[in-house]
Amino acid sequence: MRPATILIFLLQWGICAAQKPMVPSWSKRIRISEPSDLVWDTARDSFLVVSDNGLLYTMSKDGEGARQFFSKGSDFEAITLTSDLILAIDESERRIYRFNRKDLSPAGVYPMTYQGARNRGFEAACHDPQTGTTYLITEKDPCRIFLTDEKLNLKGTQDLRISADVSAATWHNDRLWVLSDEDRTLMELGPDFKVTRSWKIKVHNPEGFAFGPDGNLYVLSDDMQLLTCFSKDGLR
Amino acid sequence: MRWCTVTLSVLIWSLPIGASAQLTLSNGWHTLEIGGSVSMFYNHRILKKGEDDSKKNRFALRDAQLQLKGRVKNLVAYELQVDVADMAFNQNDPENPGLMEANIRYTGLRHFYIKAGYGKTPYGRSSLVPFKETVYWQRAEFLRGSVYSRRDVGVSVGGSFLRQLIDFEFGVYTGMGELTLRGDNDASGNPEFVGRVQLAWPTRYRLRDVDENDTYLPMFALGINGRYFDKTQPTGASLPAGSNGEFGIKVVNGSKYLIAVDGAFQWHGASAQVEWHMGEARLSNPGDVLLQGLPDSVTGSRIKFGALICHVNYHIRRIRTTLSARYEHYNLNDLATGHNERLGASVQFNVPRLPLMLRAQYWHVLNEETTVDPLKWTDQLRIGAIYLFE
Repeated sequence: MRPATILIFLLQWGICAAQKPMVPSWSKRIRISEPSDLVWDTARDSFLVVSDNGLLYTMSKDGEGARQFFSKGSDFEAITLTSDLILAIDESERRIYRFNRKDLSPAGVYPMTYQGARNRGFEAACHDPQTGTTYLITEKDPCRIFLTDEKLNLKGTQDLRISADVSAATWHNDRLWVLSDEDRTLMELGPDFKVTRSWKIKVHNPEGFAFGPDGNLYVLSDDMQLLTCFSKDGLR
Repeated sequence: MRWCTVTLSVLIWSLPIGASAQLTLSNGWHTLEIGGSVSMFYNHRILKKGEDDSKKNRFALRDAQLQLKGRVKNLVAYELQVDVADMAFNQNDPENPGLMEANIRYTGLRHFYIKAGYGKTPYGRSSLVPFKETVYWQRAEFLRGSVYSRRDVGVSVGGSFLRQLIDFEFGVYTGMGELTLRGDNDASGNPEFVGRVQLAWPTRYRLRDVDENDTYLPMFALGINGRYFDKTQPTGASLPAGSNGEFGIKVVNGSKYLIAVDGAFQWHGASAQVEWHMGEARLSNPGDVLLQGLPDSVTGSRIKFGALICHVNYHIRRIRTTLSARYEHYNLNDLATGHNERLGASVQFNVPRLPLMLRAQYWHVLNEETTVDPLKWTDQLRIGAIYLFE
């Protein structure tokens, strides 16, 4: 680990300790430029990571061994898994790139119209395997959830007024969890999309998060190119 | 003032009704974003004793902007930005011209881009920060485009390294600034060279003056800037009318260089910017009016000019309000007596759930260089609203 990384981590940890938010277990600089979201792929025993440059990677749980497997997007901001597909959301292009989970082969591109500002489009996505619902969430002005079925047919929308923005989302323990970059806050939502619990996450520019196989929380910093791990104990 | 306040309030609150949201159109290959802004203000000046020209006490439409920004995958980006408010009367305010951006960037290279067309020249942080990311109605006097060209036509190469901790852009331009849109260069035909390098730590530092996100890591940026031209006119030729700017030093008959160092900091809602400029013009005509009639043995046919500009800002996130103070110290000609000093302050309130900003700016003149830039006023107040189509 380079001295600058250690210094940043210590600074981050020191400020966290003073303000009593969740304390990171470790931080690591990853070899992915402008990472924007990640999801844990159990079958592959690794994270799938997307970047603002329209690239897709696999990466180990400790942030090592990033391997690019797709490079034809423009501005990936979110990634999620359905029963048999990987969905990578391209915010600028207003498109969803689909890949087969089995072999990571492309499985088509799906247009998803949204007429907001270019960088305020779909920023977060997650999937509820029980109901087959996919949640696509716009970043801000407004933060709006688009609920779709497995085939991405729109089932409804719901405005979220819980944070300044939404930068990432995931489905975990039968709940929708969202992360706000500007508020640096992780929120667990109830069925009515109201916040049931929240935690301050002291990570600069947190753009993506996922829960690992160990139940720990992994948060990506876009600007810092850092993967930060928080123990699941801090979420109780 | 009461009728002004009432009228202004009505206008401010009626603005959102007529404005529409920003749009993005995409066919998956080509993405086009349509945006813009409308801003208006009321300006009030406190005149010096003996002055009675109050024409600057007025309502004004500052911006009626339309902005088109497009991308073709990650290969090409382009931008067209016009301000109809300035175009309507063919105004050529260098701080806020009618044509603001018209350029294309090739972004297909990994760390570099190539930019061609008309737009801001890469010199000085404050000039590069977009108007909506500042909290003032007007930039510091030295940076408003009367001392150097804020915009020009040319070609530049830029890019970033190390997680965008290092950004740079170097370009070659006509050197005629906003007047280049008339079509011709000056008789020398020589270009201007402009460049900027920014170093940031511990993360990339965007061109914003206010820490609206209450950044919890202290962030720093240091910029180094330079520009140079030699526009010595051929015998019998003269510079195009108006090219020398308000103070006569924007384009000169001779050579001119400017260097600048700028710094920026932000942490927990507090932010600060400091910018230092130093320039010299070597004039080819010993009788040039800029030499103040002094003999060549005294002047060496040179004049110097420079500035120090400081901003401190604090954003109170809970009430969406920014407070700012500014200090300007500038000398437009070292051969002329005196220097300029101004104090300023600004307050901005971002209206919840709307891209609407209410902004008030105050100026107070401490010192003025009366032989170069005589003023009729001592204080000025400007209050108004900015609505962004986004």
